[in-house]
Amino acid sequence: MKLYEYSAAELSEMLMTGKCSSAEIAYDVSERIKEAEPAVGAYITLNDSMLRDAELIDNARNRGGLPHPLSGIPIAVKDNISTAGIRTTCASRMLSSYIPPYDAHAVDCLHRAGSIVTGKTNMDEFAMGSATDTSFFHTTHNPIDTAYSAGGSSGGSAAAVCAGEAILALGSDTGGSVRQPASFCGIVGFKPAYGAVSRRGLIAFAPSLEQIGVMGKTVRDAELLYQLISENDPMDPMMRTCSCKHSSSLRIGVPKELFDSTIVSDECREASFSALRLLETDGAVLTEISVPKLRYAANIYYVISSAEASSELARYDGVRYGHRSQNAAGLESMYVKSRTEGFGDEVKRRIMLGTFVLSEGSREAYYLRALAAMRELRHELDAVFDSCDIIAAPTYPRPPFSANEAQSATDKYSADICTVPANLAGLPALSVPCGKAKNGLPVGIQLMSPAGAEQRLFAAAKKYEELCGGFAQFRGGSGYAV
Amino acid sequence: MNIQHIAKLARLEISAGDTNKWQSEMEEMIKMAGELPECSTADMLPDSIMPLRDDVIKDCGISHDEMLKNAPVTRDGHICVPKTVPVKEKN
Repeated sequence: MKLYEYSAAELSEMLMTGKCSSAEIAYDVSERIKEAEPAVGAYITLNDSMLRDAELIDNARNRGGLPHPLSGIPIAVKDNISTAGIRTTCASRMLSSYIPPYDAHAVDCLHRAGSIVTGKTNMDEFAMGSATDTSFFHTTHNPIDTAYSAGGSSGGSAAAVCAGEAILALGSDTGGSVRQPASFCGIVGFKPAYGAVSRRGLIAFAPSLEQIGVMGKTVRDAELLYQLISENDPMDPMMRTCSCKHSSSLRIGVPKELFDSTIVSDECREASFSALRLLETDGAVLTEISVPKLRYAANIYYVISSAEASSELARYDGVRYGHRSQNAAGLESMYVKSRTEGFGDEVKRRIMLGTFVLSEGSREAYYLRALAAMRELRHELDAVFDSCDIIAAPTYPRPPFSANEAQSATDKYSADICTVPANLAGLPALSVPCGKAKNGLPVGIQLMSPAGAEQRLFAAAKKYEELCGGFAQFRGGSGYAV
Repeated sequence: MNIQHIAKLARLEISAGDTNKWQSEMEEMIKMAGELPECSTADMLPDSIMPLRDDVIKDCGISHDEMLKNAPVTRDGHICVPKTVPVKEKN
């Protein structure tokens, strides 16, 4: 068995007991990257010094330093998370040569723990998309079957972990961008509660909704990486600590709106129900719940996230950083042409939708109404947590689709209905593999809890992982397609 | 909704040949965005204003030169932009 096939927790144990070195793990991962990358396309930029970094970590360990469980573990970083001295592009022409002068707080945590950054992973441009096909560079393919999409927007991170091109990965989740690609690639993806992980150095798209999230082969792996990056950072004023009392029982709310057969495919619904029935045999209590505003979650999300994107992305004007058009005559023309040449169509769509919903005469009818609906959705979710400990739903309403499948923008947006509620309400949410669709690709089930009750999510997901016999079966065992 | 007006506000350019495609696509998206429940928007803003750090100058450990490395055009430690104020010709 190659070292890239082990989980982070297993490798950590092997490193601590001297059964392997960081350099050996990094070598295996780098060889795996050479082998799989032509078919998968998980990365935009590789860290050229990965092997040297690993040797330095081995030396530090031999001197008795680096006690962190993830020291020496190769971790991929999504390309919208700033890495000092390593190009960070957001998969956009706009930032195709941007080199951040500082590390994101989460990356700083990795360095201090002695983890190894493998490189920067491909994504939908500015994290806008659900198939990693709006990248300026290339499309990422699903390692389990490269004819299929790896999901998005953190498709590069999910594919890297799935293919063994990294042991763990950081992604970002504004409306499901960690959980959905994790479900497509048969791995675990966790979106922390809003404010649980610093957003410093995460290049903004919709700052009231997005969080850096984590991906791994197992629940324990995702938990280890989450524990590492959830350190307090005074530079992010939105960081907050929540706590919830521990519950020894497990009451699972099953929202009828997210199991509706007109929204969710039979395959995804059935796979989720099978997982829930398995947990029920272990003593979990299932309760059907209703959260009426969930029906509007995607609509609310696209109004608010696009409004924020139109404002956040106004900074790209060709002046201080990013693409500057060579075809402009005068200052105003430079702004317009730099933006028109630098952004792809999906980013332009979101900016224009956001501009429209914030424009005079539309603000009340769209933006304020969406904010009001979000407030009511939060109240409804707060209320259901009185009668259940966690809420379960399919991660995505349909199985993984073909790479480059043509879909209308609104069809793609509507399919985010299961993942966006956690972002709108700031809740922690975790996707774990729960079965295979007819096309042979994995599907996931999503668990959500109140902020501060992350341990409930990890405990329930670990229990399911144990009961179902491990997630490797949903990825096709230890066999890889590429 | 006039797509050319929205594009102008967003500092984007849409060619005449692409106008109809963008117009119909945006109309479809706006229709979806408008399907929202009836909720009271009273007291909606400010709901949770994002707090800002104190606006004070302090050393962030990044040099002036380092900060300018990503600027498309610089000269003598400054960022250059196209001329913004017309210079009056001297007689």
